Amino acid sequence: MTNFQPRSHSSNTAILETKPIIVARDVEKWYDNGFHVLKGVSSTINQGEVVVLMGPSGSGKSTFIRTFNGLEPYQKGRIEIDGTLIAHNQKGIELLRREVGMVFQQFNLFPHLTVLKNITLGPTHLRGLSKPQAKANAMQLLAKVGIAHQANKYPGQLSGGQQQRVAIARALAMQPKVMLFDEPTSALDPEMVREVLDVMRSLAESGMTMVCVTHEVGFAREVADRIIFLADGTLVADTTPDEFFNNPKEERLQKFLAQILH
Amino acid sequence: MDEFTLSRIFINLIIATKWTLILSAIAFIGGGIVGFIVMLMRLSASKWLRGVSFVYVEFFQGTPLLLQLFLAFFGLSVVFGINLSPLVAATLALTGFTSAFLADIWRGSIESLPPGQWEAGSAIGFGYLKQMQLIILPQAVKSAIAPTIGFLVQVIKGTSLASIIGFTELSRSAALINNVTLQSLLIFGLAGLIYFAVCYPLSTWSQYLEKKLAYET
Ligand SMILES: Nc1ncnc2c1ncn2[C@@H]1O[C@H](COP(=O)(O)OP(=O)(O)OP(=O)(O)O)[C@@H](O)[C@H]1O
Ligand SMILES: [Mg+2]
Repeated sequence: MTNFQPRSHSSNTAILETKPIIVARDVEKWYDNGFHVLKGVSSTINQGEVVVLMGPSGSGKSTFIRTFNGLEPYQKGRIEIDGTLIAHNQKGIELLRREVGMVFQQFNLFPHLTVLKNITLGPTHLRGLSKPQAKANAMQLLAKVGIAHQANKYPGQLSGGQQQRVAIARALAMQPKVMLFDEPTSALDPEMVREVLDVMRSLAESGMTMVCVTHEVGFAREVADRIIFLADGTLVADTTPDEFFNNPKEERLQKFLAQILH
Repeated sequence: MDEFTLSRIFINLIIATKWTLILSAIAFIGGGIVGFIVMLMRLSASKWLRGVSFVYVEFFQGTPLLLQLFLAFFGLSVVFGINLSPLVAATLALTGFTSAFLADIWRGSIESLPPGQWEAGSAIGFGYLKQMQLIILPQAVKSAIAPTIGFLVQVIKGTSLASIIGFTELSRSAALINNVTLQSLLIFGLAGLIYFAVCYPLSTWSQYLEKKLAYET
């Protein structure tokens, strides 16, 4: 049901493949209550890469991913999106956010707008698309996430899985350079997890750069190019899924895996 | 003077009611516009704007309307060396009073929305005002309507205080007629009935909307 344009590259575009989209250098953040939530985290995410972010609850995964579009300000270090700095004072952040799509655990669709309007709102107001253009694009995206027939319904009339797929389409409609997912399947009934993961998988295959916080081991194993492991605000491991699951070196990671893999 | 028949008393009170309604409308429109701006300031990212609007709201909510009317009528004429007419003074005080409460009522409606609505708007790239216009206000209006109409009733009754600075609305008109006819019970009773006839339908409407919207969400 889901098919985004397949990655169209030949081997001589390999140089493009290593173009960094997100560069985080020694990122430190304190919450207002003084809590040191990110203690100098560095990572680079290249174009077309799918990176999964794992870690125990409270380790700072959400906080870290939310610094990538300035939803959380940070105090020290440096974050660049496709070469543009996210300043500590968040100046110019709105322009940058257009380039970074985000999908939330709770979907956060706009309940007063139809599915179609949810998707066209950004492109018509921020990308200067005409209404018919935006609508045509939205219908294409809805077809790709498999819910074109629900376009005129309101979010409240859809199942959780359908809402989350609309949320993915809404983020994609802005044609972002990178997509962030913060536990996109954690609020879903088990039978709906699959349909959302399928969309994400197909998006990954189309070449989208993705950063996903998720506890879905199957997705991480099969789709991720790299897995980053955070614990207590520190980056503990940044490695391939194979190394991560089959040959974990760090003690902290071994403990974590023992817990989630039973 | 003894020609003050029941029907003449009634007609006089109705004419004065017109001023009560006009003053209420002025307070509500002025208060609505100013209150909306104050509400935007209260919720803005700027500490400075938040501070100013906070003090504004606390001042008008924390002092009696009567005192605000005195300040506008007597105080401003001292400060600026001009005599404000009762209408202008009442307009200023009632606008301040109404705006402070409306700003708070509306802020409450907005803050009761899930924070995820703001985050989703931000994540798409919308700025504060666009988020307000496209995402937040259309949803907040729903929960704001009932308390806003409920507060309109308070404003209508509150306009009676403008009689003290010499503005002839329903209450002052009743007092003036009473001075001549001395039929206190009849006159103030009638005035009370008129207030009730204006306010009661509004209260009922507000309660009806509150229930109706509660069911819908
Ligand atoms: N606004 C805040 N103020 C203070 N502390 C906060 C705030 N938000 C989060 N924290 C704390 O920061 C830490 C990291 O939170 P974060 O949500 O980033 O963790 P997480 O790794 O996403 O966890 P989870 O798996 O539960 O989603 C937690 O200990 C949390 O309690
Ligand atoms: Mg989280």
